[in-house]
Amino acid sequence: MNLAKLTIASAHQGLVDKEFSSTELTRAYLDQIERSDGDIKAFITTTSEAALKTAAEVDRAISAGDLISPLAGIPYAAKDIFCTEGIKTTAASKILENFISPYESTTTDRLKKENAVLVGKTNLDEFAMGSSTENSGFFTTKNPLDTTRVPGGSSGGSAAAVAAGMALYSLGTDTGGSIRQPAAFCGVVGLKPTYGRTSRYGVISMASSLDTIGHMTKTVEDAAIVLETIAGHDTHDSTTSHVALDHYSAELGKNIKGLKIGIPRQYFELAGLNSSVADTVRLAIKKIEELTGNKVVELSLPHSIYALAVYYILMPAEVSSNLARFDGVKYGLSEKGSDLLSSYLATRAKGFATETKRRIMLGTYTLSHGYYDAYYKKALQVRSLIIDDFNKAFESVDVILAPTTPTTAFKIGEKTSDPLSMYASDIFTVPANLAGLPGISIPCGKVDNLPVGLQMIGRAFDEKTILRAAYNFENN
Amino acid sequence: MSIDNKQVEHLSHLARIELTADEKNTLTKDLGDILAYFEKLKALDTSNIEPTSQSIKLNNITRLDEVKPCKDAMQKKIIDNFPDSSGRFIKVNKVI
Repeated sequence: MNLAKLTIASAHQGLVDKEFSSTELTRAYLDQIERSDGDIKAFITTTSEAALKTAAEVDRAISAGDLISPLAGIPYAAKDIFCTEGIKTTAASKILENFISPYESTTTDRLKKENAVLVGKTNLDEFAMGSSTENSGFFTTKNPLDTTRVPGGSSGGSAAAVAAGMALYSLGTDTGGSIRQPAAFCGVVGLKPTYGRTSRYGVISMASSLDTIGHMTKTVEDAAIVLETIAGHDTHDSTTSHVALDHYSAELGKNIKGLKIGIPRQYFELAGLNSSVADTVRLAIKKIEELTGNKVVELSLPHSIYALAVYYILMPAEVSSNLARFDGVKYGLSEKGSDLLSSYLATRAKGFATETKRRIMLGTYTLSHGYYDAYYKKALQVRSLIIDDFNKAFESVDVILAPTTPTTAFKIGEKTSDPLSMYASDIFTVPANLAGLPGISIPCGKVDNLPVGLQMIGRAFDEKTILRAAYNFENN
Repeated sequence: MSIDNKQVEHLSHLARIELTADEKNTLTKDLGDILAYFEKLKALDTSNIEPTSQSIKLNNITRLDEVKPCKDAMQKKIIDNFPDSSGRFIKVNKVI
């Protein structure tokens, strides 16, 4: 068994052909965690016992001659923000350090029903707020490709786990780029589906109008396979959609001749875009032109220059409201004060780390009396303009291409003292969240031995087209 | 728009987070910088633009308001998470 070469698709074939058992496969991944995670620190919790139990069940099914589903017996990791019954769910926060959820998130439940093998829960920036995992309340995850660098964030542990061969795929959440950016930094595939395509039920909320559940994989085919299992309407999440799902993996092989692709001029004019990253993306664009037979057109998303400001108003506003529930009364850390108010003040002071406090304070400010119209309402209006830009662009193109990030993975500690420079690493990813559109990041080359991500953004609920374009790019 | 130490103190009360003097100073600076970055939005005329609070245009998704039973095992798990309890009740400091 060659772990470096395995994908979900080939591991499934290996199980069906009885080349190896799920127990052997799972042990190989647990061994890899044992070997590498002391250094990489991708995992907050590992679940080897439960993993081997599930693997044994799958092995029994295979021996009995049962058909197994594509994810049965395949080891995966979940960002530690998905509630898992009986297993700690911390959101990488001291306020939930010992929290054990009484129920299971819809996404992990759907995987459980397929007998997917959960090997552990991965590190993140506290409550998914950050771009490097340095805001984790526990420890920083290292980039497996260069351990002096960050893996990106907030789903940094999930990206690192896949890149270091400690899981075949992982679940993440993407509110402003938290799947695509770490996927780009770690050289893996990261898919953020359309808002409403995947269920947020049982995922600890950060900014509810933006949070999207997705995943990281080694290949585009694997991304399609996982989406087929986790996507779809959920009665527990009223923001999930009834728009029909596609048979994503079956559509991948079709060529992309005639597909119309555009690049937003504004994205390439940005001062913070590293010139070598831009050159690498331009080379990728050339290749796409050969595959489609069409010239990639330059288009305009004039309001995209405001997207980061809009995002950093709306997201903290939603955060300040969502995180009000952590008050030390019903669960989690609880500091006793002399009265109820002092208990709240002390619990939240001790339980939240710096960035979380900063965002709660910022959201409280922009929502407060006298500032609401100037900030929050204004940002909601500019959000409409950003969505209109995309609607106009998709009248003439099928897919929008852009760099995933302005730079490759930065050094640990490089941006921690300057929040605005950290926020700027989300500049190319936040527009898709504001508009609710699907986006995928795929590796498209390297600069100084560090991976560069190519982002493809599609029309709402049209994951199949970006997956097909990404697959054609990856395999040609 | 700048923000001062006093406003930060008021916000910390609204947000129910006790801050140290150091944290207050850092936050005053950080929030000031971030709010200054937001100033660029002022250049846009949005007087006739409708606000968007969610992107996929779903409307009035409702369900029946019905009581569903919660199994004993689930109740126990919820109660086990209470920081302080008395039987099946959460114990908190005196409110009034």
